[in-house]
Amino acid sequence: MRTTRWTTLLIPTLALGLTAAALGDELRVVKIGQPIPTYSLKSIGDTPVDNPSTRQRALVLVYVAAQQVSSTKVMVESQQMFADLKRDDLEVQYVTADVVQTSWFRDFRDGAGIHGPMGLDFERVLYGKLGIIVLPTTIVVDAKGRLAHVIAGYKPDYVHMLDAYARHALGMLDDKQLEEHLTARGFHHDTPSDRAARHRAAAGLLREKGLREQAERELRSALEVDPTDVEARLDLASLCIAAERFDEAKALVEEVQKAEPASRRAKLQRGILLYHDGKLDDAEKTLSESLVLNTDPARTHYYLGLVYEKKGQADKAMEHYRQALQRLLDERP
Amino acid sequence: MRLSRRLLAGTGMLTVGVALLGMGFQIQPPDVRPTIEIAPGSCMTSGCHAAVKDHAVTHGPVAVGACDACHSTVSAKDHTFALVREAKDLCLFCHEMDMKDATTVHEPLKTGDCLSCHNPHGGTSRLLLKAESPSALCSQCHENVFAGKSSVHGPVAAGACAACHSPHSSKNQHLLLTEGRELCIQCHTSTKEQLDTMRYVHGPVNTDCTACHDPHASDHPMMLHEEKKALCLSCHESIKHIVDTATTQHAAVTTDQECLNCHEPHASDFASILKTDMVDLCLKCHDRKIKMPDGRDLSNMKAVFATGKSLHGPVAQGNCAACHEIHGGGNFRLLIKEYPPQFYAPFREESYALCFSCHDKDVVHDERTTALTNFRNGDLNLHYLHVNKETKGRTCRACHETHASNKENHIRDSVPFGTGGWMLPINFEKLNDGGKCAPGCHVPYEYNRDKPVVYPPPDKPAIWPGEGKTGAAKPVEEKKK
Repeated sequence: MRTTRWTTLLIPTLALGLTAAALGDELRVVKIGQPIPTYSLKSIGDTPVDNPSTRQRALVLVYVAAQQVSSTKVMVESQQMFADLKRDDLEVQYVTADVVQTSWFRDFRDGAGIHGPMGLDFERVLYGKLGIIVLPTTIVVDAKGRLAHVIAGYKPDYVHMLDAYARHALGMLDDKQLEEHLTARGFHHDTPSDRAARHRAAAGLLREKGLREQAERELRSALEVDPTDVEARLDLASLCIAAERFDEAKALVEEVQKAEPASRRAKLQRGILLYHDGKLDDAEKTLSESLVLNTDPARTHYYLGLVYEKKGQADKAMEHYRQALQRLLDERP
Repeated sequence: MRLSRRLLAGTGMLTVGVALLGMGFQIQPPDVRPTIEIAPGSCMTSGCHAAVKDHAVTHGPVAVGACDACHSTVSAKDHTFALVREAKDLCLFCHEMDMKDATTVHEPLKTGDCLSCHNPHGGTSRLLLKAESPSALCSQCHENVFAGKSSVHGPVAAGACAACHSPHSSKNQHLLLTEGRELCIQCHTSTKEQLDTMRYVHGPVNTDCTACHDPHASDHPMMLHEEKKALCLSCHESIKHIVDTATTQHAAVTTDQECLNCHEPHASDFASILKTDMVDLCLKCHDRKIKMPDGRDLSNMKAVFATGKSLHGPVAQGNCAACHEIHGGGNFRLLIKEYPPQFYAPFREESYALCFSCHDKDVVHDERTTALTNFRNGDLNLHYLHVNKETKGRTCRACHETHASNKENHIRDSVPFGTGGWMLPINFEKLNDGGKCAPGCHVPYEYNRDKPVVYPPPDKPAIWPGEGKTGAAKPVEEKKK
């Protein structure tokens, strides 16, 4: 049922690195699948920042500008992604060409709790070798040093996209899974079926409290909103049975069986109605079939007990009553 | 004591009532009150208290004539009785009620006044309520929560207070069955599915639906506390500021469903809780020419996207909001920052604030570079050469389509020039290490990043050496040949 309510809306090719260039996430010099250049940059800390592929590690290289809102966002969110992923075979590095802004970066990183190393790209050497087009640019490189994905700029779904790309580069997702990760679906709610479900749920709550009349009103509202709602019809039939309005219940169950001959709940209710109609053999047969279908075992055993009791088969009746009790006890929280 | 007094008084009244009604009954009540011990089962059969049983549903002890389950004789001679237990203890002796975790107890239960809601002998349902329905009972003490309101919650309208509230006690405030959103999603199952499966969930939905909805009724659709937009903006202050100060308003924000034209109120798979992909959303309106109040036309963006194979990055990413302030603004075309709408503009960094939000501004500041751009002849930065001019700088739009074109790097096929609707062709062609242009603006030029094409010094110190001339500019090497 659910799949009918989902509509795939985003072009799945967004996920495919091969089409990234066509979709705007690209570099001028290095293309997807090509090795990224080796580099060793001075950093804000003591340790130089270099290409980790020699260490067989994947890399998220975040090229940022100083005092740029989108750069601060990608720094914070990529750091968060890295912390959440907790992978030793992945490194996150930050690089900037704004080398005169070292103190600004230092303050920002301290304030935002960013621990990844920050390389300083004097004279934009790495910038040019990679062919950065916009800032910020996030570059995902696999453990073999090949450019896997590029995210140009910042979008509100940045961290979701980066997480998927990083997992893909680490081999945690294959191409198909990556595509699924990046595919977004629209949600079509408040359909007649949704509204009917609300009435049905309310009816369930009310019935639990013994408010049968109000529960019935809710179920009738559900059927008004969605006349095809089989479950509401069966809930209503169940209420009718409880109120000993067997003819009404029978009509409802017959409607359901006509629309959905395989309905398991309808079969059980039909069995119950046959019992109330005094057709004990038919009831026995239908309820026994229903028991196999495992719709509501406690109730089915109980009614089979009633059938056998009425047929004078006390032992069988007692066995079914025992089973019914056992099921009820099993279901207790 | 109060309970027993009330019960005794009630019993007395019943006796009188039965006596008055007795004329129509076969069993006549005795003329005088009995002065001897009465067997428990005979209170009702004797005719005195027959009406006690006169209910669609009778209380268990009443049904079996076990009056002494609750009443005990004080004086047989005076025919007076007392309750066997005080206040709520009488009821709770049989009706076990687990209240040890309860933080909220309904006031009548707290004070032992079970009879303010229940008839001890019978009622129309098994709840033995003193009113026709639970809601009628509740409204005897609680003010009407939906009178005159246009939008009423289903259970409230149906009088099903008990769908959300426990009548006796609860672990939650307001005697609610469960806490926060959990209560709501018991019925709102599709919203639950949405919250469970979607990536982005609206903050308040994670905690309490009543942040936006009145649980009973309101004068706004969906029982919202305020009108849609006002409600959203009551939290989203930065957006409120944009909307309030916008000199150009975006119809998407001000018409129809307002904020809900684009956003889901609860959850979505799309960032910013959008209803769908941003481009799809924008194209719901911008799939046709739109006439502006000033008479100008906004292009049919669907057609623009469809015809261009080279998309500007944000367009390719489906991120219209990277350049446009969706909620309204003061810049040309609702752009988030300044961007010159003309073909020519004196170069000022501020005029290109929009472009420099993403592109390094040094791309038009540095005359020489080998890193910043591929549009260079050797290390001569041709972006700098075109744009960075005191008077007639060429703006980005002179060469680039903002959204999409059929040429690499979304370069235009032709450029609009002058006021006469002229379109000058660019004839850009990408080559291995560079490219060439043959625009109407100047004579044809080539550029090469590795082996710069050397041209003789221009007649004028601008990029327009061919202005007023015809034919292509000849590279120096070619002339030597």
